[in-house]
Amino acid sequence: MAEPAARAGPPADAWDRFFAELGRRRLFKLAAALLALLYASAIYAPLIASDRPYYMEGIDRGAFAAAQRELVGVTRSLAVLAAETEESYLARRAQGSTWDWGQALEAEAAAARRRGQILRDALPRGRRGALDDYLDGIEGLLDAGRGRRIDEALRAGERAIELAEAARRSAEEGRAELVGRASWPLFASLSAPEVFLMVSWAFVLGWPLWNPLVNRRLLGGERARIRRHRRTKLAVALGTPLAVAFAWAALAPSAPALDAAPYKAKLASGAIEARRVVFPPIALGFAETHMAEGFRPPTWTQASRMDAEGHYSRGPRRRPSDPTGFTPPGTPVEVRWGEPALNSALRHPLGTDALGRDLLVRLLWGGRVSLSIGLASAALLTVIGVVLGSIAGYFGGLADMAISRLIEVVLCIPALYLVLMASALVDPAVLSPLVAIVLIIALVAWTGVARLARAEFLRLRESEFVLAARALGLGAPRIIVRHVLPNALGPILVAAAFAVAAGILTESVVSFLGFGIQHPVPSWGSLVNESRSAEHWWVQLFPGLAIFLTVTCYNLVGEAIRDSLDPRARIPA
Amino acid sequence: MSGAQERAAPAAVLEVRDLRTAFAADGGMARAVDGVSFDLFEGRTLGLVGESGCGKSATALSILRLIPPPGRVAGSVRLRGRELSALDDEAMRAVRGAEIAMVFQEPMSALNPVFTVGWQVAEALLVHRRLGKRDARARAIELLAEVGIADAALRARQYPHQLSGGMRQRVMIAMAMACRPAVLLADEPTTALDVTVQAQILELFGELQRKAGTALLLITHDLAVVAEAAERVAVMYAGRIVEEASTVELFERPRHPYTIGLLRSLPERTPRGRPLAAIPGSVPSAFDWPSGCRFRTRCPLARALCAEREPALEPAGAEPGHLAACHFQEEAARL
Repeated sequence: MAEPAARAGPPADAWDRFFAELGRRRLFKLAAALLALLYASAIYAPLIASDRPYYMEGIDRGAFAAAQRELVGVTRSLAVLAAETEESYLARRAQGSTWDWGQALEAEAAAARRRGQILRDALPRGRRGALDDYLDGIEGLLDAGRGRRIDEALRAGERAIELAEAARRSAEEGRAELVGRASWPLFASLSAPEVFLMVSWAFVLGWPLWNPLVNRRLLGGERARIRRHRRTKLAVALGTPLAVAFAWAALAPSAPALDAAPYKAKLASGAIEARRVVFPPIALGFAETHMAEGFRPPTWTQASRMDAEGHYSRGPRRRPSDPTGFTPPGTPVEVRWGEPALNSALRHPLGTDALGRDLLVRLLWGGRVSLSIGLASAALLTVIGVVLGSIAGYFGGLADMAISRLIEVVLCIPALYLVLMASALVDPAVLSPLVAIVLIIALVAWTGVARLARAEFLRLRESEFVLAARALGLGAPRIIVRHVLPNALGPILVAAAFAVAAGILTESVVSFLGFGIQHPVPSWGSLVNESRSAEHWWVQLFPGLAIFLTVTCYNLVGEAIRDSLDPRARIPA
Repeated sequence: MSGAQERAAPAAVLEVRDLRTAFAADGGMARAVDGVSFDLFEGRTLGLVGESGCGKSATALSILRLIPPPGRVAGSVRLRGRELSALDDEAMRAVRGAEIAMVFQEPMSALNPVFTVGWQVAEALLVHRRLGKRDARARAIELLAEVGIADAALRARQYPHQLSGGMRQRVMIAMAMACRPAVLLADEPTTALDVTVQAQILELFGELQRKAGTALLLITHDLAVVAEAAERVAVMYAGRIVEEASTVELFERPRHPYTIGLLRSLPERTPRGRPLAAIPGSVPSAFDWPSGCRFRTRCPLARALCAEREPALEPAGAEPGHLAACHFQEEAARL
């Protein structure tokens, strides 16, 4: 009966049916779309909210003046170092310093080079000669120093100091006619992995757009061709970001070593003479404080209105009433470059924390921590669970006995106490809190996946295809990995989806209780912990909502995958 | 022609002697295979016939040492004179698939549902022949074509559920034949197939044997299959071989009451309108075989002697090589 239909066209394979089944579930689509957006907000957080401008064209007069002032001094100390012995350096180095002579030499050379470069780039083309000479002189000096040719280093040192004097004079003369430079401070601060994630997520978000287009235009809408080209699509969607990231690592200007530059303050004070500046939509850093705006309610509420002196207009924190005729002075709020006006609804849409840091910005950046902890811990615990569960299930006997007892031992300890105890014991200097919490969650929560994997392997090892594989002379590792595991993957993937949700929740609990992620990098759990006073409702409400939304979405996705894999739970077409 | 081959027949490829397989369970010991001996010759087929539960499949799995614990295997299996029971697990693994391969009854469940059939055929080559991926893949397509799969390059990319039953069995055979094994154990290879496909598959076995000289052990409960494909037949009952002879001799002049009962129950041999003859009773439990002759509980000729002494497999009838295990085989021949 089914035969003629099957002969008419290539029959649907398991993936086709799985995707069709998933596509019928509205809640799954909604949850998946929400998750995609949540991850987008985390991945693109630097592009959405940052105190660095995307693009800046202008003259950094402050930096120019500082470089001009320091050039000769830095060159002198480089000259001393280059012509010095290791012992004499060690005798005079700063107390507590761990550097040896070579490190000091390189650092001093970098400092001299950076200052020369700042001056050179700001001067008009015709005036760069003295600085080019100076930069060459530095390299010669460094070379002599590295080669420990003391006499040559002494001579090169004297010459470099002369060149520095000349360069300073040249800079002084050119000071009035500095040229503006275009720079991309925000992009310069992005690392290659960040760029990889940003580009690949663009493929994910754009999937509903490009996938139908590719299928229809390039593949002519043929099911068989579409199916055959699945791997090609995946390769493009992964290969492009990878290529971009590698190109980024190779080509992008490395971020200046000391780029904690408070761009907004410099722009406001005129230290940077800007022609054009483009900031991200929210021009606030995740650690940028506004001390006068501590615990400011969301700015779309009436309670957040402030006057120019920094007093609230109403609510419990309004300007103190004044029986004596004396009003204590307030602290005026500093509205920096690129920020919305004091009482604009968009200034702090989700309010601020105790230090006046914007909650929306911290929520965006905190998502990076929370979501990646969820994914990483789920991935790790799935690996642990699958390895142990498959060994127990496939081999049985003593291995099963040992692993099953281990699972029971881990299960009977209340997980939360174990996590809290472990995270209290971990030294953040030895193990970064981010890694520590992932490890701890994975080591406590692997038992569920292990039991599932064990049950699946127990079932599948009796199946005829495993017997057939053994009759073909395949070894146990190959049978486990290549034959049994792919067949057991469905339920394990579902458990992994639930594990992501559980991981995010656990991290939130641990951070809320003050262990786990420490300042200034926020996580959603530690944001909730910023205040426990009911007066500061926004501090608890918004991060709480973010956690709730993510966990719910993951649970919906997990359920949808589980139901789609189960042929008995299929929604009738 | 059969006679000429008989005389030219070289030493046996596989000699099975006194094979015993027992499972320890809380009810005691289940002796599924209890002293089975036979030889397989190059390019020849031995049919192993018996009803469900008589130990046919256990015999095949015991030869490969694939009996799951708590089962235990004893006895001697010699492959071209090499004693397999003395090999360690690693050496035994190198024998499986490469020198002795097996084809299973249900190709749907014996093929892995998540891999393409081409990949599964190539896997044996990857493991035993250490071929590269590309070579293994090309060879797999050749093998699929060899077992009569049309459009093998396309089929190699398909999954088991996309193939018909007959094609799946052909894939199983291609997998088993991938390394040109000396011995092929086929456990009910045609049972799950319809009759026309059955005939094609049996023909395929014959063709491959002619080409590769493989010795075939054809396990089946279907006497028609044996009549068509095997030169010799061994009849198994309750864990033992009760009669062994060339196919013609066994069908024409059976000497064991059980064989006689089996042949009588064939629908083809029953006149139209008559009820089918059946052997009364059912196979006893492997935990508790009857004393003496195990068939005595269902045998029309059973007497006191049958309960006391177990009959040995002895030459019977005129043809050399015809063996039967019955105290009263002369009487049985007259049944």
